[in-house]
Amino acid sequence: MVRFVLKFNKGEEVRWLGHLDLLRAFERILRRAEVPVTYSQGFNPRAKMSFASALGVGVTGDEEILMLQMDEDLQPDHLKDRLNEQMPAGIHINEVTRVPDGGPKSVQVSGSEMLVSVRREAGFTEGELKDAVERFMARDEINVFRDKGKRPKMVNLRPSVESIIVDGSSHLLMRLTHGEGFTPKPSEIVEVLAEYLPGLEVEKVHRVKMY
Amino acid sequence: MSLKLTHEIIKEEIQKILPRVTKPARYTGGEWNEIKKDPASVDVRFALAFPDVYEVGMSNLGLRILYHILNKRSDTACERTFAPASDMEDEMRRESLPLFTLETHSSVNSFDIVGFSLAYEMTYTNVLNMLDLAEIPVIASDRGNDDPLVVAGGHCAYNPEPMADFIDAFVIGEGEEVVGQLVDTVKKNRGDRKALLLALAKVPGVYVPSLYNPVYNEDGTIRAVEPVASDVPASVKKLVVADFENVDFPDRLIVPFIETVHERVALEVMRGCTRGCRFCQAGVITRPVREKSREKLIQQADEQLKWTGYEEISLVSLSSADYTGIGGLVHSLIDRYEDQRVGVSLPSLRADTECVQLAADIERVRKSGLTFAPEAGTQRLRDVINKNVSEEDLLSAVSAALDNGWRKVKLYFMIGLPTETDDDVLGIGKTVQSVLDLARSKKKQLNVNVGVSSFVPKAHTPFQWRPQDSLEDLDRKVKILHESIRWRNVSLSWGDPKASRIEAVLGRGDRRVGKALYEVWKMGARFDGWNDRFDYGRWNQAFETTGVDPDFYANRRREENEVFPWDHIDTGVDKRWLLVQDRLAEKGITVADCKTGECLNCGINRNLPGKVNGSFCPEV
Repeated sequence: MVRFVLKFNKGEEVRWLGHLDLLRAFERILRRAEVPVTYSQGFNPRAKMSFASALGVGVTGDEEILMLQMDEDLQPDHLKDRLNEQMPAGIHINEVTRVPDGGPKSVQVSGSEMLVSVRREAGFTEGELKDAVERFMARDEINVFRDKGKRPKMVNLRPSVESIIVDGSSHLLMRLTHGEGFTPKPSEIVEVLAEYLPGLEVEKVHRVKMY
Repeated sequence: MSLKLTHEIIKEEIQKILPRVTKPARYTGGEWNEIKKDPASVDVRFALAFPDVYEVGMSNLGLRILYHILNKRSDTACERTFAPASDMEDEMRRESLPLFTLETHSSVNSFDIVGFSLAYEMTYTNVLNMLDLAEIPVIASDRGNDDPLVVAGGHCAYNPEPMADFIDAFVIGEGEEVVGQLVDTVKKNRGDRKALLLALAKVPGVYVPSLYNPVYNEDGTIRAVEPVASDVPASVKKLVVADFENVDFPDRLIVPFIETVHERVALEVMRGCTRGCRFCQAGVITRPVREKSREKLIQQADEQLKWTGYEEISLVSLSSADYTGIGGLVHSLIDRYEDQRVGVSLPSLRADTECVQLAADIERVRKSGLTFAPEAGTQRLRDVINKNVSEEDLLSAVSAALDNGWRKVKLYFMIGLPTETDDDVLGIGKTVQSVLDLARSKKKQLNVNVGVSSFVPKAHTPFQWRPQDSLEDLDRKVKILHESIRWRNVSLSWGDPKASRIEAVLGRGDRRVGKALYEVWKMGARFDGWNDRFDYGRWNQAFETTGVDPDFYANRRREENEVFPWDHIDTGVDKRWLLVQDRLAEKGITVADCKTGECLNCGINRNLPGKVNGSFCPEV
């Protein structure tokens, strides 16, 4: 039994897939590539793979991480090539590494670096955006509603926002900590920023990397 | 000529809209095995249009077969388009974005041919809406030389008349045989719509409605549907695949990203069905029965699995359990792919122990639920419809299911069948009771789902002369049923009789019904097959405005010698034979499956031109 860590990108072409869509796509890619992936036991055998973190509908990513468990060993480059032959446009594996014996059983990441482009019908200056971000960061508590199951829950997202850098006139580079079952969404943050800069909205979200 | 947006602009505009709609991946294409050709590199561009959402359309085998066959031609590019859901439609109309294809994001009106798949009547309003979204004149006679040729095929094309005002040409029969000629004819007759239509009318299996005039009797029935010129054939005979074993079948099926209704390798084990259920239209129009060999099917399964990565194989056909040697096929598939963790499924089961045993072999571990369709609640009525299933058959099948670990069965019935009395309706409850009693006697827990739909008399069936029950009768029968089925572990669900009534009007309508169809679409009808979108009041208003009497089409007992709106569409089965079947039905006399018994002389082997390989029919 061997584990591999795959780094891949989710590009423009597959931007609109949800996490489950991507998961299903990978299951079929693995089947087509005929690689000896390990399957779970039971009624409904599934390929043993785990994503470091899910990407939402509409979000692209440069360095997404997936861990695969295989019954047999394979040369990492060979595995990479075989999988890439079966990839739909927009998904590409850039790096495959073998996890050494006794290595971690899942990929541990603590946060995401997100590049968020924003827009506003009435326009805005870089200074205005910086001001909004400063006011956001100055707060200790920013509560948002989350629909978890039947009861919406109030969550304070502020502690999970490590930093927001205004990058050029319409980009925000956010460092967001993955918490216990809670990671703030860029759209939630922009909604709060819109309290200071009314009408500000998300145009596009891209995950640069995880850390 | 209308302004046609370039695909670059459309692609950009779509990206702006997508964040605001549900399931945006319905509209982006780019799936594995999608075929994208440079429009400049081909002579003919064919847009395959399915009048329902992506998830439904992508599960349609016919669409996948035609996509494959058309794209195999180097001179043709075939692309897909589906009905946008209402949120997407709103956005498209707001942004003046025309209907586009998934492959190249070209506007559908820039194609040479737009081909609709008509699988069920309740999608007709979606066809009109898609034409409108495509900025193609909805009424065929308003189209000019620059507009695409609008064609339609599928089971509903066998009564094309309600859609005759909107469709330039119908494909009658199996698309594989006709589309090639269709493309060739379009190539040869460019820029001259009139010449093209006339040329198409002479292609076997193609019906061009504008070249036929219906003439009516005083009582509103049809005297004749006459061709307008002497070189237009008086009737159009369906075309069938002459060599089903070797007909081209796609191996590189598109693998959708988002979840669709069916996610699996589809093996078409046979075409046609000889059981002879008298309500069934598919069983008549798909004759003769043809099967593929086990070797061929295994080869096709191998190829499809390899190219798609699917984890399930489904044996599709009208009645796969009737495939000769079904047990052997199923077992060889299970054994062959067990190591690859590929499952096999059999969508239609017969109510007998042999079938249940087969299902048990397929579902060794997981027992989801078994479905049987006794269709009627008494033996008398089952004999009327020639559903050759007895209560003992059903009970022994359920018994076998219980023995094999199933704890859930679904039973399908119809109400409103010809000659039905309240006793027959109550018989449904009694049948369910016997099933429950059986489970109790075996001391087994059993949940029963009872699904009930209202009978819709269909064109080209023995019951085409029959009236549909009035809405009042159907509602009353649903009530009787509801009151007679009150057990804790039985759930009852039924289709809306109002929707069945509209289906009956469209299914046996004539050309005049098209006016109401146009009106109801104008009033906002879309997705009439979806319960939450269907609006019966709107349909009635449209009937009233256009002077179309729904009773005339749905509830009238038709005369034996009446000329039907679809009589000039020739399925190869004799109308006379259908009438004999209807008379036998009245007397409750059943006939045997002609595949196993003797030839019932339905006419299919006499009426089809040429030899059909692999057909079960005797030689004439």
